Amino acid sequence: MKKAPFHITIGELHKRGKDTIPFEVTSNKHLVYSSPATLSYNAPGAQGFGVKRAGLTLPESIMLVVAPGCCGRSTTILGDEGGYSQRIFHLSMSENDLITGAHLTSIPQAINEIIHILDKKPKAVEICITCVDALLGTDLERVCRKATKEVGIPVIPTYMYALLREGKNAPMVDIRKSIYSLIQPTTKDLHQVNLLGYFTHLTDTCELYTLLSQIGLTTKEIGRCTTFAEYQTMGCANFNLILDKESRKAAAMMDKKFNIPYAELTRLYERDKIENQYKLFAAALGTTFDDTSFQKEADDAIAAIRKISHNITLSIGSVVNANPFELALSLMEYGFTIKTIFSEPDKDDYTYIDRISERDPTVIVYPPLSPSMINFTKGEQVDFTIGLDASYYYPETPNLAWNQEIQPFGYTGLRDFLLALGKLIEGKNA
Amino acid sequence: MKGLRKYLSPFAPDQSGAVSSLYEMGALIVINDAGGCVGNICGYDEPRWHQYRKSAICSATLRDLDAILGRDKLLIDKIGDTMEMVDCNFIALIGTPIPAVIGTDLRALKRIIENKYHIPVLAIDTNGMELYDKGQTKASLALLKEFCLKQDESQTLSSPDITIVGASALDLPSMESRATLRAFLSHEGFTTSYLEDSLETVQSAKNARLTLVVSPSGVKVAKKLQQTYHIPYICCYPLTQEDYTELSESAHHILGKETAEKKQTRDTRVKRAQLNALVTNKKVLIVHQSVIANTLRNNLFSAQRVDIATWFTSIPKEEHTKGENFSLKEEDDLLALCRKEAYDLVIGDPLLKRALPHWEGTFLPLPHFAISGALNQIDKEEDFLKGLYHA
Repeated sequence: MKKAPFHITIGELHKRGKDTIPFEVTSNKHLVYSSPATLSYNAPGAQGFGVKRAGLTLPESIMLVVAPGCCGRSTTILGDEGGYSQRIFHLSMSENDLITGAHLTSIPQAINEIIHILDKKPKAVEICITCVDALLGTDLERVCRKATKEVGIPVIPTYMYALLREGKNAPMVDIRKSIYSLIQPTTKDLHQVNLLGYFTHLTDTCELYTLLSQIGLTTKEIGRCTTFAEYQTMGCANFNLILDKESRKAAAMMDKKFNIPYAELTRLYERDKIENQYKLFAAALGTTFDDTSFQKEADDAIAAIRKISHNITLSIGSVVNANPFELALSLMEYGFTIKTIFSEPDKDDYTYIDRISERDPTVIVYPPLSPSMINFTKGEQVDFTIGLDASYYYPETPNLAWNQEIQPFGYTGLRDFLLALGKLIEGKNA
Repeated sequence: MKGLRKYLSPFAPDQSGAVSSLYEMGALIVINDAGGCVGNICGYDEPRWHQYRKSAICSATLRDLDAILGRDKLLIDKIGDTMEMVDCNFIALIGTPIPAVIGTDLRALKRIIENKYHIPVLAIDTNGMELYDKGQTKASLALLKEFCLKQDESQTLSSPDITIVGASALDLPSMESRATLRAFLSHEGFTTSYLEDSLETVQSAKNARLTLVVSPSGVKVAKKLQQTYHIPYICCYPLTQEDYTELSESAHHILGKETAEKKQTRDTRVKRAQLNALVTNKKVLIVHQSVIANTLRNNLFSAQRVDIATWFTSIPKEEHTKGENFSLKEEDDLLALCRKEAYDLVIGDPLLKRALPHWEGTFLPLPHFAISGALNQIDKEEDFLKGLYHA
């Protein structure tokens, strides 16, 4: 008999509470099914920014992956697709290296051979090691210090430790620490703030730039730095502003090492929460923002979407520039009906799960990583899907991927999202 | 330098090869990794995963403490939970660098899981450091051992004329290749089955009368069938009209079959002469999986000399007809060989051209999925050789 995909209602999740989330929706408690929808989970095959591509946001750097061949298999393919194939190299480990550690002593020679074939000498080298070295207890910091002396340019460690995915030093947390480790703390510029969190940058029209400039602050983002020298000036910042929680460790490191304090903002799609967040942030800085024009644009977009949202059903995936539960809650507030969410909730998501449950406890949550999802053939009928992965589950349904690399944020993020969704709906109705 | 890749990323590893052999078998395939290996296997080495067919490929999602403390019981329990959710014929445990480092006893796990859940288990001791063909061979031999050699003789099975082995997506020109070859052999009056199509085709391999090896990973399997059941084998992947004719004649001869009268159809496949226009009097090196490379070499009659080189397994010496056969180990070996032997022409996956900086010969493309994956993947079988005569 054909088995069914596991699913649970939001109401049931709410009733069980955040301390008794079923194991079927907790990825490290079951085997993980690798469907095309979940590729982003599976670094180093990750689409978008995995450790390798994220590491190469450090301008004028190169990366040497020192690992078994299987860990570097995707390098050229990703590199060609992402345009960085000339900046990433591989030093393969053999079975003997597992015992002797000889691969580590070859690193300076390998770097020198790579530099020899490059048109321009890199400004920094990132060494990327993987699960094998995690288990061997490799002291990569020491290896990199030695290599720095031998090759004459900074060599820094990066870790693609899938083994630590749910740990405090998860790979995407740790790579953020690595890429900011070479900034130069010079004289403080009281007017500079670094935006941390994304490997690209915010949309040019994002209000955050304007709001910060109202109080005399300019911004730096690694995704906008084109040279190593420009990147190093991030060390002058008065403070760091975290936009993605995976940057907290990096911010803490910069606070400790370079004396740069930090604050945090969250990407939200609930209009009132965006307003509150800015108010609190401004108050913490001892000032106020004039965000009325941005509020108005968001309010206009909300008013327009409310006119067409009634009776429209949606499914939301997790490969999306949003927290899928927060996005679902926002969209319910704007008049949509949410039928399904493809995501594995964690404790932090309960803020939203409890509120969604109050509005509609029947919303169904599918855990995309559950092996039972191999049996998924057809979900509850919906009119539109949001998130790249949702299009895998509903191939015939119009989809708004909303996983662009240039990052949406704040009022403008909400406005742009609603405009894009409105366009999709109108396109179908036309 | 040993192990250094300046121009190419590593080729498909053994764990990808093992999965490619098991993909269609209805198994629960458990990659004993932390998640990254599955990402590479599914995302980059398995075109079927994106295109048309689901397979229950799962990651064991090992975490640091699982590996350090050797929590095999946790893995066994996860497999038990998954069997409640997923229908499967058997379990395949695929090794990666993690079990290689911590010394996981995959064979012991096999016995425990078999006893606990009463389901066959294949334990494939890949380690992510070998190449794909090694993993394919291990998986295919394990299939043969578990489901063919061990099986009850009295079982009623189909009896194909030809079992085709080594026909993975990593080896063959396109996703059409298997269907194209099968259609041709069917048209010639043969019944065929691919070893890795289903449990039934594995079981019936012992009843076949000929094994056709289309990539080096099939050689050991063919030899095992020969030793155990006295089934002869031939190594060939037909490329030209003449290859197809010769393959048909050889198969008819070995099987003692009369050539059936066939309807005349327009043959659109490339002719041997077409492939020779660009190689006349040239010193040629072909870099590919060695069954395809050897078949292509046999077609290039007008070349001064044709050698083959491969990073993967070479086919046995008795299958080589002429020219030299080189084994490559490092990335640098290709450039060194081209300089030493002064080839005029190199035929290989387009990505390999990057590993020949400042080499002034001519390079002609012959895509190989195990090298460049989807970057140079072709959709249609007829496009495979186009670069050799449309240059």
